[in-house]
Amino acid sequence: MSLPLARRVRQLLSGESGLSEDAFTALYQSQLDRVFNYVRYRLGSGEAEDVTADIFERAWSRRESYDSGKGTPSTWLWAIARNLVTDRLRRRRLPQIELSTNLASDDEPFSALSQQEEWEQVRAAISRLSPVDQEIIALRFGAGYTNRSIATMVNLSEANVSQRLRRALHRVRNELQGVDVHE
Amino acid sequence: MSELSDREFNAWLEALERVETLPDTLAADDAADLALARRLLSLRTAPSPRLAARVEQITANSSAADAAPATASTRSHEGAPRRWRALAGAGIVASLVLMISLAFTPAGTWAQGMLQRFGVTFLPGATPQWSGGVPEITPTRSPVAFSHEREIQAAAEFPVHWPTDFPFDRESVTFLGFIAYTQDGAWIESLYGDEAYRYLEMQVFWKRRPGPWSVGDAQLESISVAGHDGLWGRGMPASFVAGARSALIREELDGTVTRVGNAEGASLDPINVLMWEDGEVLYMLVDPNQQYGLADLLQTAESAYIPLSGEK
Repeated sequence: MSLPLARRVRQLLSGESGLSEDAFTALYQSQLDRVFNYVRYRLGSGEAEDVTADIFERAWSRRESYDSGKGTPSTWLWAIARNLVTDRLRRRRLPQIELSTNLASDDEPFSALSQQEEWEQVRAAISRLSPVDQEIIALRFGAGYTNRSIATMVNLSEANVSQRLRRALHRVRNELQGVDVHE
Repeated sequence: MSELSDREFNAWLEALERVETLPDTLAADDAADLALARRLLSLRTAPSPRLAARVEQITANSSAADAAPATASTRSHEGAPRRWRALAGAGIVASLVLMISLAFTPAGTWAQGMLQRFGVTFLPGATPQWSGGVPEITPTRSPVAFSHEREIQAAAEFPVHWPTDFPFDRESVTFLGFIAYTQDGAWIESLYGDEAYRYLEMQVFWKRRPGPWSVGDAQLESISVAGHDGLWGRGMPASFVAGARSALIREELDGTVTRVGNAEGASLDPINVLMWEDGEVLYMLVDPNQQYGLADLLQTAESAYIPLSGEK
């Protein structure tokens, strides 16, 4: 059985937890790249820097709520990051990106696209996946997490994550091939 | 047609960053998907020096602010979220205690009685987010704490009714309640404890703003429950704050998720769930053991449910 409620409440109220400034510094040094690329995959390049900064600002302002008994600092940070990204997605209610409209005037072959254009097309294709699959793609290819770690983060079995990831890749590829066909 | 198993495909994924070229022996589909994966990895970029400096500045600015004398308004501003977090944290802990007791020690409380009678957990207004656990964690105005049900009923902007068959005198127990106002609505949590603050019972109510139900990509069937729009799902993944027989998910307010009672990465036992809305309040009936079908849960829901209008 977990901590008795009263003890846990007292612990919460007394603030017997927290993250030191040094630990926070170590945290952002080790996680900045991962978090930034995760946000970029989820929200796009346009607001990735601002949202990444917001994540670390929120983490800093809540560092007293960190409890080492519940997990590592990076686990705690990633929970904040994923919550904030989810919050942003809900607020902006992403419009569907119509590939055929956006790319109709682009005569450049896909293989010759600039990295930025390629990135935008890949992002558009990923945005058509289910929210869970988008999250898995972002954690795998943006943050660089293994399927096992992702499974823990999204509450699915590792086998399920592997399966979803593979299908998601397949769907993204079909979307991108669809672009080629249009061109 | 793909030829690699998911396990083999994943092994190739893991190896992508170490392998220069993919072997010609791969099936065309597999090779193309892995090539895409490699492209996705290559599209990662380093954060700009400006972002790194901005993040470093966060600690520098805050350290300076911490050293300055706090004004009255600053203290007030910081006090409320801390208390809200603490109270909400207590609620989440209570949720966990409830789930654990339901899963492992079926005896005692009203909810456990329901479990014994029906094999189900009846949680009015349980969490509406399948993957989020608790609703938005950004309060839009100061949360309010209460020490009695009546105070919550008076303060809530929608009808709140508690079940009437608790196996204890509600007037003599310790009550802890709060309302947290969020972007998406209001979250009310009420906890009952004994003199030593040992958990007895919990009720959660969630009023959300109008909009589609957020249930991720779960497969749910539309259904009518007591004349209200509802959803029925059989064999749902128990990926929110809930317990299945051998696996419990605990989601903290800050989003930290831990598993209890099951090996990391193992599959979760699925659950059956029946949800319905009355006004903007979401009710949920959960069958953690998948022992009952839709008809059983419908009957239980319609017989135990107290409509917000007060009419049985």
